[in-house]
Amino acid sequence: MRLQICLLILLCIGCQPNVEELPILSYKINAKSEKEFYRVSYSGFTNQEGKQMTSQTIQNKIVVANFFFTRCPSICPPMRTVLIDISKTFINDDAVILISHSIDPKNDTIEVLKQYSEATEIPSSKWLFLRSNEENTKALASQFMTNFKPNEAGTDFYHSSYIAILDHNQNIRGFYNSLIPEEVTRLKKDIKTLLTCIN
Amino acid sequence: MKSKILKYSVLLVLIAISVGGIYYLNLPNRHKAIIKTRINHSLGLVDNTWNINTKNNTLSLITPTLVVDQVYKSMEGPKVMRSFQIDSKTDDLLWITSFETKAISTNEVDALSNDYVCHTNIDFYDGEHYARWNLNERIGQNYPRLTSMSNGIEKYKFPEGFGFPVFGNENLFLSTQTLNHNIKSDPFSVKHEVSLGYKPHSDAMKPLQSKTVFIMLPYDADNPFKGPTEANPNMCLPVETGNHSYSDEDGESLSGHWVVFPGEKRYRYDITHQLQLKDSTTMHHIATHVHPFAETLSFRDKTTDSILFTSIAKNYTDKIGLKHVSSFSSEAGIMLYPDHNYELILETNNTSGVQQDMMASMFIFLYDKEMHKKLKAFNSKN
Repeated sequence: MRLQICLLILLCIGCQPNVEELPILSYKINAKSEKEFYRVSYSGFTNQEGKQMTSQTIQNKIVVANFFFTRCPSICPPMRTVLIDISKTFINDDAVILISHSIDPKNDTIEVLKQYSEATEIPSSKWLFLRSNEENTKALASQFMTNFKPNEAGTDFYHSSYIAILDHNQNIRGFYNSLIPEEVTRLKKDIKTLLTCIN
Repeated sequence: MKSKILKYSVLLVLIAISVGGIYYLNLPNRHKAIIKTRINHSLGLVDNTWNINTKNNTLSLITPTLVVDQVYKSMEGPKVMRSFQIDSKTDDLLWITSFETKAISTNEVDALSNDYVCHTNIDFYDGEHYARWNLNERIGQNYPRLTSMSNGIEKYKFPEGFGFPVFGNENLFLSTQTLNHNIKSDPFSVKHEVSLGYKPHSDAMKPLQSKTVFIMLPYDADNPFKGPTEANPNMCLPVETGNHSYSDEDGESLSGHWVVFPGEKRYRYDITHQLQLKDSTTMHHIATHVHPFAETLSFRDKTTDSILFTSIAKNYTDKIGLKHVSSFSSEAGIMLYPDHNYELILETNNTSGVQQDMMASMFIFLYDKEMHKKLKAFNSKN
């Protein structure tokens, strides 16, 4: 018990005071109309190396997450540029990883994701590209409080330009519009704040 | 050898400065304003901090300093943006009930003319907002604009008992832009103060859902700046094609920001598809956004051939600008039906003798029956 209290105190001392200004946003009003907090979890996703992704992979990590597809002609190219920049900013912080989830599993095969990943020149251990079936991806998007749907012509998907960050306990701690430079600056600042809790 | 390297380096720098200078001088005013504002704020040449306070259930956000160094028409002036939360320390349910924007001096006390406010937009993050209430199908359906205030309509509140429900730590987004139609003297500085009034949660409150309806006019995508011709009199001359450009279901290009020529003109646009009504509901508030030289903007039920509301824009007579734009607010509301067709009708009178630019939008607030059901269940539990 004493050890637990000491650890808790150490954790509190380690975290920057402004960590509390990043509220836990991963809660929903459940079927019983009660606030229900949850942690983001993975099941049934494969990365660009063909390896299974589990919730274990993101334990004790700060995760920068978005939804995309490789053939996206609209918002994904500028989002990709922003994510490359974020990867480079935190390249030496092993606790920070990026995860991009494909919303087009039909076309985004593991090979396609691998090529896309290699073109970013960011190590695959730093930036994971994941795919699963549509049902799993929809369920995960719901955990990240977003969604996606194909347009009427089937040539593009509606999907959000927002990026979410998870803390080391898999709680959502922020949403950021990746297409607005001021928001990207805020995202980087918040990652640094969250890092103080695990460094 | 060293002197050669130095010579070529100097030459390269000079070429880079010249190319950069020519590129900058050819930029439109709005892009120049973005660059100048970024330089001013990143180098700390002017106050670059936000002053955010809460007092008496009002959140006040005072912007960094914005330097007005020339005439800036609508959508051109220096602007700033940021995300914010009403209270990051609580996940209590709150109700946003009023909005205000104003221009103030850099001492953050003295009021300035609201001629220096182009528009102030408040957006919400639809993913966070709707996913929390398990209304995922709404995400991405409409642009998540909560509201907009603009020159002539800088302040309004919802009718008693109505509001927009948010949690204290929910992300909202503010963007505010300066305007200067008239002053051509030395540069001067302003700030904007944006206030959101809110109330603690109460079972009696009814939720509103915001929707934006606006006029779009066709233009020739191959020849966008040709404007209306004898062969194509219905075409508009878009101000630009990078922003406020849309495609309809037939692939035709449309602009929501176009040029008005001297004289009187009437524009109509069917907004039924923008409303996306699933059920009949009541409309309780309308905030209108138009540019100078607009005279009226009407919301018309085409099916019953009746005007539901006309917003009247009063223009200054001694300078360019809007003195007042009327808004609609009603506890009883006006019924809207999913099987009716609706349109906006804009009347303009450009008395300036030269071309001006125009936009015409209504931010409408509808009773949100679906959200109310969720809230009633939430109320009984919390």
